[in-house]
Amino acid sequence: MNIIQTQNLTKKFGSSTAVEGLSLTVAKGEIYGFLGLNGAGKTTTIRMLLGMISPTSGSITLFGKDLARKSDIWNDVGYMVETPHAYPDLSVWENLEIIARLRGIFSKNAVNDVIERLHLTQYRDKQAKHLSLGNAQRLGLAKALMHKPKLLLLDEPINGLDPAGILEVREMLQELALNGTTIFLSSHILSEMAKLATRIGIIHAGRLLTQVLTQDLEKHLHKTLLLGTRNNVAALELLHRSGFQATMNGDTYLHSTDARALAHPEALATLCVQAHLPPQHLSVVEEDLEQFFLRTIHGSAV
Amino acid sequence: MTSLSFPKQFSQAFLAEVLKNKRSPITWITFLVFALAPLMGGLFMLILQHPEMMPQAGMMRNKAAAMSMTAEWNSMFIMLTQSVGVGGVMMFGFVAAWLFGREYSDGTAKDLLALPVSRSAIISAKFLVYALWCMALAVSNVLLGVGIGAVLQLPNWSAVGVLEYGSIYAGTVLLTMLVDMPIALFALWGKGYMAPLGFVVMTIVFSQIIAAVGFGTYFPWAIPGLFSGAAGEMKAGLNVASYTIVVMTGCIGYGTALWYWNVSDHVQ
Repeated sequence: MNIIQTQNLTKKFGSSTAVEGLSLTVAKGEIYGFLGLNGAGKTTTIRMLLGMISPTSGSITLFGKDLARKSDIWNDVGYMVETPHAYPDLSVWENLEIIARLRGIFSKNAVNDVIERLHLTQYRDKQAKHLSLGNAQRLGLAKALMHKPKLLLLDEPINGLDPAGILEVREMLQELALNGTTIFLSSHILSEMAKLATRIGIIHAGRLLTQVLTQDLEKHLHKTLLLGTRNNVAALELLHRSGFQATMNGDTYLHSTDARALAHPEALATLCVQAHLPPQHLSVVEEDLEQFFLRTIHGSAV
Repeated sequence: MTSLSFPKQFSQAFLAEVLKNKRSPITWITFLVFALAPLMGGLFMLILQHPEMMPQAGMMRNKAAAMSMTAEWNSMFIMLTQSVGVGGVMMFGFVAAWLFGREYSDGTAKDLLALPVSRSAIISAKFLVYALWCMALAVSNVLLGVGIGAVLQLPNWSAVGVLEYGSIYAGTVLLTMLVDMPIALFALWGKGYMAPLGFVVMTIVFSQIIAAVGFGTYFPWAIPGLFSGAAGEMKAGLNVASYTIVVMTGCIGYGTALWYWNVSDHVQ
């Protein structure tokens, strides 16, 4: 069953379109990474999924139910939207006690358990206004996780965490997903998203540009063959004569994204040697995630 | 996890609101500021009782005389009532602005929007805390005023006087609480304190102007002051329509806050 399903979701604020025609599905146990630049529409989408913002058009279903502000839907949803905030004069424990009451959790252990789980025990009685950014983030996650939700909507969940904290949160979320929790998280940190998410959707200017299974990400990364010789002009002419596509971009190397060249770079080496243009440099480089992301959003018509 | 009934949601939301305000310094600051009225009243009476003790306080003595104030219980009760009718609009307005606006200044509004406890229960719980807070402020001022009066050994205490002025005091508190209820909407709409506090100031300014031109009996925010007797004989002009307007103002305040919180786009 799809836990999240949106159909042609659009949100306009006056003449400005924040999200346009967004259709996506997230299955049970999936970790869906929602990737985009600041202002791309990630937070607006998450707020619509939480019923905080009404869509201008389109529909949302959570757990197979049309999204309405029904209490029984929110029992199974945990969330953290944008920078987590807390009541500044109250302690970590008191802030969580408030959320426990608002979620109808009557067990005192629920607060203590989540404090322990998020490693906040030593800050239990510390006022929220005195927490570091990382611990404030942990408190925000604790609020989202306290009631053991079946769906987690997290907006930039690793912001402010140190490397150890990022690792902890990543492992915790992966464990939750293994146990059947569905996680929808937004981020602009691509490398982390690639480690955590099972599927990535890239949103730009309010439109979902592409969705990629993380395990297939490799296939989507462009490869380029770089060739350098003593006479690149002659080498370029040789490659063209031999049916290889290549360009000279003004730097030291010829660039080729020709599938044959990428599959058999040794054939190019042989060709160059036989034409007395022995390669000084021959390599195949793969674009990184940032390049893939930027290529995707710059390739969009927006 | 099963769904909570509305009464249960309301009680959970109410307990959460109590927790939020328990440790807030604002709670105690409102009591301290509101206590200035009985303290000032006590000072006036001390000066009236013992003019020889503070010869340099002639201006205050003249002011007390201009207010027809005498060093006795009735004056103390009148002063307490008028301080609610006039200052209460400001103080209760501040309480409403804080209760409904703090979620935006603290950045916690978004934590209240997708919960098993409904949005209506949360807003209703805030209104209950508002009412209890205002009543606690009113009671604290009475206790302080009575305490000061006892220390000053004011004359002419009577059960009839207590009943008469007590009912006017309670009525003034109730009217003031009702007319300040729309401030909740301004806090939710303005997403903080500035809009509601601006609204409070505006109501006070307009109350003065509208009462001065003779229409105060139909302007909600002027009515508590008139009822308290702060404008003397103008109290006689209050009628059923005046009280209906005040009740309607309260209902509109409650209804519009519920409506706005339930249907508006929450982008903060």
